[in-house]
Amino acid sequence: MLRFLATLLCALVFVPPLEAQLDYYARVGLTGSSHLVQDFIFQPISTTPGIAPTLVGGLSMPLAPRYGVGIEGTYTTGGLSAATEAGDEDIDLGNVSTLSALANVDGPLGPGFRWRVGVGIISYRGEDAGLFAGGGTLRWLVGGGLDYRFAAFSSWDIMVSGRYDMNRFTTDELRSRGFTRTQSVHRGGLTLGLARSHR
Amino acid sequence: MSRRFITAACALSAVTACGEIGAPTRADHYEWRFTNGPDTISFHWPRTAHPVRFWVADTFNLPTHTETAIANWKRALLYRDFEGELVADSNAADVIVKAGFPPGGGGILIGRAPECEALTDIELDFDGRNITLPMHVYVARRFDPDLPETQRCFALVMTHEVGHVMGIFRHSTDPDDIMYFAPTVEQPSLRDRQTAEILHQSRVTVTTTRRGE
Repeated sequence: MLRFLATLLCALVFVPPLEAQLDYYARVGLTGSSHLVQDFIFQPISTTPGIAPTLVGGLSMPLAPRYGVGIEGTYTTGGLSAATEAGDEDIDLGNVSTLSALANVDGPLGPGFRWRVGVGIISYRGEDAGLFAGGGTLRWLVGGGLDYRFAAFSSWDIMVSGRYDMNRFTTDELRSRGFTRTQSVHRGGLTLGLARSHR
Repeated sequence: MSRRFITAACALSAVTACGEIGAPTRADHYEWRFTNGPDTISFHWPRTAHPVRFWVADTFNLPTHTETAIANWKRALLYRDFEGELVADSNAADVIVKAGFPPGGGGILIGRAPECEALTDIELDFDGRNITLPMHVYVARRFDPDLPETQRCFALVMTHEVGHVMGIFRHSTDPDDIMYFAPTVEQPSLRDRQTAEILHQSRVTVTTTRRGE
């Protein structure tokens, strides 16, 4: 997998980029996540990231007449909190940030729409306490989504994207405390930005 | 197209199956409550009382050891169940840390190590189910306090005593735990951490009042 990602990155960086066809974009938005940890001490305790401001940047190039290949990086940062089933109060656990890279392929779906799916890695970083006391963690990631673009300026399109990705979360600290297996974490995001136009 | 979609959906289902992390049972904890016959007293600081305020005498390097002890326990807990800070005014303190022994002798929770000893004195009214604040921690040396071994001893007994202040009102029977009566380890063990996590999710069965209120 790492070899695939490295090859893709090299292709994007070093292959004469067919400048006119290289596509790049940047977006901002929000990402929501399912819980990272489901604990149980007399009652269920869920640790969940809050809705997180999101930055996205990406590159892609044609792979076939209708399909492309690219890489997309996403950064999110937001609060982390724990809540008991009784719901008496949310416990503030500081901040958590993620940085992910998704190698992807994309294709047409309809006028202005394209689908995008890929695999990659995601890095979680949090405060030096609690579930990140032993440091951050790097996990595999699968994801995909839809892009919608429409002409806005002479050289740029407005790009609206919806994304979903999934990873299986744990940390060294959780393992050292006796947590077993990993937690499926599902994330969804909506972002808005600009993409280079090919008109 | 529909066959491809079904295949993709099946693949996604396979990846996301068994989606829940397995929480530890924390069955390896030890008793932390005061007992009086069949009656038990359980205490932890409510989040509204965070950060717990420590006034620390400026001797034996105790302020630094106290801050380190607070940090050790803070790092040991998953859910920020304990926060503490040092304050300059002893009148505002929840916990007073001094060198020496209690004026009247006694002290209920004693931790001993070869180079030093310490105790936590908690004024607990069993019948009234009330703790009168501030709690007191006393740290005494057995050797030259400037020796590295003695300083190391102060560090580990402070982590032990802050464990008592936090609500672990008993001693562990395992020498590998910081809450063993004669601690030798410098950090809370897994058993210490699990015990602390359980106590912080347990029901508090005493009230607290401040002396003079």
